[in-house]
Amino acid sequence: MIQLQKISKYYPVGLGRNFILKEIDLTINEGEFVSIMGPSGSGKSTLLHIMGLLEEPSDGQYLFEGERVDRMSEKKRTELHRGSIGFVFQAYHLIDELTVYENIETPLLYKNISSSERKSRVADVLDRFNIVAKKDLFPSQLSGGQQQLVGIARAIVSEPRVILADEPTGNLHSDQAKSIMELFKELNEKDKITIVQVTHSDVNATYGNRIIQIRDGHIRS
Amino acid sequence: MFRNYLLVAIRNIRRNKIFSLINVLGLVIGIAASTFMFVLIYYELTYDKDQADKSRIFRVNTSFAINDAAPIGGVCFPLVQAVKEEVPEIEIAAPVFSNHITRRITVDGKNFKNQKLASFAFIDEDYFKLIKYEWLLGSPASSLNDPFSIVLTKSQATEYFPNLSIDKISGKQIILDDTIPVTVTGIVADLKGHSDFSFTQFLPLKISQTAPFKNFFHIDSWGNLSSSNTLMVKLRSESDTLKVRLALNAIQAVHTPKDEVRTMGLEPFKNIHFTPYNTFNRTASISSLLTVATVAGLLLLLAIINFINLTTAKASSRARETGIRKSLGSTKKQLIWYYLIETAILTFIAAIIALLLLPVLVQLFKGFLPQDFLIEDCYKVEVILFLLGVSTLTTIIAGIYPAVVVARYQPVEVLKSQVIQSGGGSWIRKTLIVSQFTVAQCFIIGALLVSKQINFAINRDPGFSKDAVLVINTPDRSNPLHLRQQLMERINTLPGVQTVSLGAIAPLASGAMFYTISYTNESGDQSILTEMRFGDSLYLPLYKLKLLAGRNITTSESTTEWVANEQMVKAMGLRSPDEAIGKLVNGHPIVGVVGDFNTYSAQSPIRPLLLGNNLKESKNIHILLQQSGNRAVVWKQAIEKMEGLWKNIYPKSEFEYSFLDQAIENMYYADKQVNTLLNFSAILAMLISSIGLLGLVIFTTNKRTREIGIRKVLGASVWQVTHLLTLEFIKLVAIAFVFSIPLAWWYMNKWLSAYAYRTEMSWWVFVLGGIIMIILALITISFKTIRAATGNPVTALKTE
Ligand SMILES: Nc1ncnc2c1ncn2[C@@H]1O[C@H](COP(=O)(O)OP(=O)(O)OP(=O)(O)O)[C@@H](O)[C@H]1O
Ligand SMILES: [Mg+2]
Repeated sequence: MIQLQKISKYYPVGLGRNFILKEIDLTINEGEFVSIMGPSGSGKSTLLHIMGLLEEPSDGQYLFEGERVDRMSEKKRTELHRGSIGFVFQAYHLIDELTVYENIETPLLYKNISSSERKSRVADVLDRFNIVAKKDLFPSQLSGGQQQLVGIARAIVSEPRVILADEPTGNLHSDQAKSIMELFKELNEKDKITIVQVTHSDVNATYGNRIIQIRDGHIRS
Repeated sequence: MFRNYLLVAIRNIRRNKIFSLINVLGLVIGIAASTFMFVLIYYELTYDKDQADKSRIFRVNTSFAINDAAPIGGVCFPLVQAVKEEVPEIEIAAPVFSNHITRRITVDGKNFKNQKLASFAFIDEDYFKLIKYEWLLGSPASSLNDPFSIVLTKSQATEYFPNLSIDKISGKQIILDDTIPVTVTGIVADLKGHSDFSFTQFLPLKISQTAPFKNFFHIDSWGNLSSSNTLMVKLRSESDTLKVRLALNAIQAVHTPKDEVRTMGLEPFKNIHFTPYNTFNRTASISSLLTVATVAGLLLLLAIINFINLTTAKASSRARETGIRKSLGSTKKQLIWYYLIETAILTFIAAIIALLLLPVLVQLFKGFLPQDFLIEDCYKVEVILFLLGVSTLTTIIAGIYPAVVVARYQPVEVLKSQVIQSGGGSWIRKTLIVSQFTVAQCFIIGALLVSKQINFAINRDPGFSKDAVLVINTPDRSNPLHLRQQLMERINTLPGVQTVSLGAIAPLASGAMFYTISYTNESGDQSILTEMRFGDSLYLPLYKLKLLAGRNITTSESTTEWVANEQMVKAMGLRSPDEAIGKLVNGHPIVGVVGDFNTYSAQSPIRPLLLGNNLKESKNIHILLQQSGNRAVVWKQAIEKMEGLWKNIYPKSEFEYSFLDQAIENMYYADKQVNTLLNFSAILAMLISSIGLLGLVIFTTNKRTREIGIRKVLGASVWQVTHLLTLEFIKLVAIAFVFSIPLAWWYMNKWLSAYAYRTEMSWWVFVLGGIIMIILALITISFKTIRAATGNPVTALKTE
């Protein structure tokens, strides 16, 4: 599903380069649940952004479902964002001007899903995340943890084939974190959705079937 | 999807109230001003828009080939009949002679004045073939048979006979100038829409052959020309234009007086509302309309620039949204649409407000609109279409660039980092601000220069004395010379009156009087198109004309001698005023030469002129009032007494007078209009630019709140911080000033070149304009900067 070949990411510093990721080789198969761990600043978010087509690698090749990402047209990438990839941001990134309900509905709008189906799907995730009461509030009226829940809800509502989640439970109580992890596990097992999550928590990492340790731009498994 | 866009757009507009307000305000000004100007231009362009066969209809013009004078929109009386009989290519030849003869109209004992432009005409049956009226009573064939009949439009008939039905009005009598009874034989419906043919009452041209009118028409003269005598013709085919012109010239040439050259021309129907020379109705100036259109375009452009500026400055705050939406699968195109919708909403809000403001503007600028303009003329489908068009265009021009800028953000740039650069190069924004202020600055300098020119023209020494001069027009009819002389002598004895003279028009007057005179020198007979003045021996001293050679004219009933001006001496090919003394012109000697004086507004150069001693031609009484003592009281009493004397001598006519200096000032009406337009535009341009500047200042200052806080913690004073913030913007305004100098200079130079007498483009005008703008900009900027600078640094740092 996801194939990274000698992927590097660096930023120019003075005359030299500051490598964030160095020649990463990584393959994630369909149906896997992978946890990425590592210290702060080690490049986890960067790696996830690259997988999510939000950022371009400086070097190396990335194949998504066997297709070279760098050769994809803008249109094809947009297609992938609409249908295949659900992204949960570390910083939530909800749209301030939209209510909880509308935020979750937005990816469905881009997928041209009928209004009645949208309604039922959004209602479904609101229910699942226990935030029905909050559906008409704006992000600024939510706590950090609640915003995070909405971010996850938004990522899964369009039923993507891969969920890329950047510290999805960083701001949640451990009970809530547990239920999210169980939800991920369920999605992974029942619906065969591939999941890649970044986490600092050893407990959460164990929900996955593989853990990747990243340090100094290298993978140490 | 669309609903979602709309929703977010509206929420965004509401969340950024000040920004939206500033944006909408700028747009309202731009759109309202340009719509107002559109209404004005559209009104002028749609005169007689439904007239059939326009391309085959022409007005016959006469021009004197000599002196390059502009053509006159009239013909000699006998030409009308000749054209009807001798030119087969002409289908209809319709004389439309304005009736300036009738002064008073009496209906059932009630008096009405014949004052309005193009309200009373002499016509024949053919007129109604050319201009189609709906006949409510009578018919073109039957109603004009008797010379003493009159045809009225419905509105005029209702004014004269308010309580009568149409058939009751038929056969009613109307008395013209107390002595001439005419009978109502026809009533037509008023023309729909605005027309140059706004006549409301018609007399058969035949009446010109009858005793009471004969003397006013030069029925058999091929030399006498009046611009009131318009001849409209309709050709059988457009392609005959050249043939008809040749035929007209051939007819006129046979009869044209010796030594004179006249050229007949055809003025296309579509031009007659716009030809600057005389015709029977008010005309509009194409160049003024172009100026108005340019100003409208510029104001709208300023508003658009404002919008682009503010929106791109604020783009960074939308960047995160772009990033998120892209990561959720939005295409760039969808995002551009999304941001365009927001612009469209703001623009349409502005358009609606502009539409509501329109009647207010019409009321406010009534003096600027044609007198026949009605409020209803604003509520037209075309105006709504224009508003829709302008709004759409504004949305596209103003919205597309900011939308592209915002939609271009890549997710990773904006989702990862905390600090986001504002959208678009800041140099683009600076360029826009500079161009905005350049336009505003040009308007300010232009407005200053135009009012300087008008002041100059009005207060300039015209070469004669115009202060404290009162002119009384005596009646045209039943007004033998002895009555005028009687009135004059009695006025002369009134206290407060210094000198009284009987003369034709004043030295400087809006109605021109031209004769073609003949003069013989070594190379044979010459003719010179000459401006004429007539008066008695007191005319020259009353107006303090400077005698350069010879003597003043003596008083005489008919012309016996002339006083010439310097231009006349030149036109006769003579080297000095002295040489002119004794030379014969039209058989009478020149006895004196006066220095040149202006005979028309500052736009025209001085022409050759003769002052003749002909009392028959002298129907105005010129009165020089005493200038000592309490003028207001003395003059008022004198004028009241004059009116008393007038009533004794002309009991049936109304007393009318005008002060010469005021009459001269009124001649600058058109210039004053340009001035009003420029003042108004300068204010609006400045307002829009200031609003834009304010928006940008608010934005920049908000963004720099943290920096300001840190600087203050480090010890910067309020003044230092204000200075820092202000300098950045004032630099832009200063650059705009520099750019505007050559632009304003070039344009105003062009404008001034239309004047034979023009004011200087003094440097201080430019400096003053610059100072005004800098001060306004400083005030605008200080609204925000001072508050930012005096703010508490701790709050600034905390909120960040
Ligand atoms: N535009 C940039 N220019 C230079 N360095 C950058 C840039 N963007 C990110 N970095 C660097 O890349 C490194 C990796 O960042 P990244 O966000 O991937 O770390 P992370 O592993 O997700 O850390 P955390 O656990 O704190 O979220 C950081 O050291 C950061 O300073
Ligand atoms: Mg991270």
